[in-house]
Order: sequence, then C-alpha cells, then structure tokens
Amino acid sequence: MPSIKEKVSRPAKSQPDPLRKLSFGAINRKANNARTAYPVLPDPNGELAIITARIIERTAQIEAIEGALTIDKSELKTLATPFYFTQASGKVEVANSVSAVSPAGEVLITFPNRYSRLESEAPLLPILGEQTSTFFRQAFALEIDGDKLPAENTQELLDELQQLFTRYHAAEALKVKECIKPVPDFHTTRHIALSPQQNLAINQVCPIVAMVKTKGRGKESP
Amino acid sequence: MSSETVAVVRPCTYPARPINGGSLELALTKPGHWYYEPKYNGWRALVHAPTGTMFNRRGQHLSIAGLFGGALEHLRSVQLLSEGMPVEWFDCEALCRRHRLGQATLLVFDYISLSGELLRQRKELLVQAFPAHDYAQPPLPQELYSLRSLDPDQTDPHALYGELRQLNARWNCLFYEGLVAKRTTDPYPVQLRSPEEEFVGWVKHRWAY
Repeated sequence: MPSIKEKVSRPAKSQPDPLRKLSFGAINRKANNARTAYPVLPDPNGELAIITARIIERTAQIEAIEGALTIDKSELKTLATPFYFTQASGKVEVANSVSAVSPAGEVLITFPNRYSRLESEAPLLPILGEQTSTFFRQAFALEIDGDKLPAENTQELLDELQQLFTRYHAAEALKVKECIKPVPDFHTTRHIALSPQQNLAINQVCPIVAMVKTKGRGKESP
Repeated sequence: MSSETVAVVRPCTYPARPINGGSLELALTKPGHWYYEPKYNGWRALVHAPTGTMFNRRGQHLSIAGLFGGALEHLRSVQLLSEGMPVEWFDCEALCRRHRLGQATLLVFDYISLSGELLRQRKELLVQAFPAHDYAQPPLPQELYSLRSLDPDQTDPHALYGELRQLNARWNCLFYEGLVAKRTTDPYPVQLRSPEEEFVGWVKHRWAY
C-alpha cells in the first residue's frame, strides 16, 4: 500500500491547470492535534462513574501484572534456550517445547519455526562464515511477495519491473523492503548441522520466537 | 567545502525500548537487581558524538538536532573510553518543546559499546565523565548531564516516585513521567531488527491514570 505524505511542492511555471487533487469523498479527515470532545453519558445516580473507575483501576492492575509476567517469561525463556539447543543437538526429530515444572503445575517453553528478521547478514558472518548462505537468505517484498517468485528468473523480473517503472517516470514509486531470514528448513537442520554453541550465538542475533504456554498445563488432578 | 569524503552515519542500534510495567504502586517484585532512574519527558535520541548526528527511536534523523549544538559540542569534547576504545554512541533524552525546563539540554543515560559492559559498569563510567543531573533541581538549558541511577538498596523507589510527582506539581509541568527500572546485569541490547522490539531488562513505570 502506498504511503501518503504531505509535501509542499512548488507550482510548475508552465502549468496553467490548477492543482489536480484526489477527492476523498466522505472519508473522515483526521484532526491534527486537538483532543476530541465527545458527548458525555448522563450519569444521574453515579453508577457509570463507579464502573468507569473500576475499569481504570483494573486496567492499571492488569498492566502491572502483564509487566511482571513479561519479565518472568523472558527469564524462563533465557534459562531454557541453552537447554533446548543442547538436548536437540544432533536430532532429526526435535520436540518443539521444553517443560518447566513446579508444585503449582507445568509450563511449556515452545520454540516454533518463527524467527526475527535481520537487516543484514553482517552479525551472522562471524558465527557461520561461509555457511551463512546455507542457513540464511535474502528476502524482500515489493507490492508483490518476493518469496513466491521463481528463483531462476527473479533478478530478470526485478530488472524489468524497474525498467517498466522508469519508463513511466515512476521509479520513485517503487519501494522495496528487504531483510535476511532463515532458509525454510533451518529450524530442523540447525540441530544437526550446527553445534549448540553456534545455535546459541545465532540466537543472540536472530532470536527464535519462543513462547511460554500455561494453558492446559496446570497441576494434574488427583 | 572540504574535498574529504563525508561518511554517512547510520545508527548502530535502535535505542532500547522498555516494556510497560504499569504504575509503580501496583508493580510486582522483579527478579534480579534493578536500578531506578527518573523518566524524563523529552525526545529519545541516539547520538553519534564524533559527528553530532542524532537519531530518534526509529533510527531516523532527529529533526530538532540543530537546537542541541552546545550540548553536542560538550559531548564531543569528552573522551569516554570503554575497554580502551573511545565510546562514540550515546543513548540520551533530548529536552525540547514538551515543557519549558532545560531547553536544548541533553541527558545522557547510557552508551553503546561492543565490549558488552553491564549496566552497572556503564553507569559508573558515565557519572565519572559527565556531571549528573540532580533530579530535585530543574536542569539548566543547553547543558549536558548524565543520569545517576538509584539503587533500591539505598533509596526507596516508591519515595522517589512520589517525590518526582511533587516536583512536577511544583514546577507546574509534566517534567517527569515516572521511573524506569533497569536490570543492572544486562549489556546494552544492541539490535537493528526492529524499533518496536522491547527490551525486558528495562521497565517503565509511569504515573497511574
């Protein structure tokens, strides 16, 4: 989707036509900075005020609990990650989770096939060296999904696309978003091809999106 | 104009973004050891000291950078060494426009180095290099300060939290927004993955509603 930016442009000298502008019809214009004044609900017996105060109070409580929970989950993920890579090392079939137990029940730390994207391959080179391209690749997105292009024709297609836009003086309209991400089978092959130490080092620059799950993992009933 | 080639400076990281811990009154105990700092109401700025280039929290050039000439000059003049290497990148709060206090002043609360020093070590070095801002006094304009962290073993964060609110009332502006808790055992989280990525070693506690 194209971004909309307001720019102050100079009128062209040899352009007698008035500025051609798009009409946005009935679409609401966003106010710049004013805080909108809304009609206030009548509250003759104070009932709404009590509910409103309760919502605000409980939202604040939830924020505090969410903050504390985020810290605890992060701590658990940090402690579980070295164990995950060590126990999975050399295995073809790897459990997607590890378990942490307590008298209150069990939680799972799940390591799905999801990774953060990198802006550049530079931080991977000291860890993987020449193997970098075995495990990571460049990904990009235009208006089209770059992952779905035929690899053998990709460069040719992109060159033609740029030429096409340039021919119509629209090269500026073409924006690319690129990144480095793991190859599709990285999640499984990493445990066979790389050591736990290498995996931990990669995890520092390209963290696996680990999740802590508690649903259905409570204390077992007697 | 100089014929030398001017290198384009790109941010070395996105500034660390704290998670939201809600109000301090309701916050639960955090595991580990944490320092507390006042949260100033300004603009987040990642500063490359040698060139005086300032980036916002999204890694874009800070549009108000031109106002900070004096503070940037001071920052450039101080040579801070981390493991023998000069520190080039500083994580700062730039005071401007949001209130009338300390206009065009930079508050340096961290620096970025490749040697991975822990927060505790970084803060020690910073307060040696720059005068620390006394939170009970409004900062002077066009100055450069470091931020002294408060150790909860010595100062009660709840008392400080309340005191900052009173200072806001006395100064008649939202100068402080709350506190930021920072785990003392973490290196600076250098990352260029996303400006939205939050760092769990920093927790902001803003005033309750």
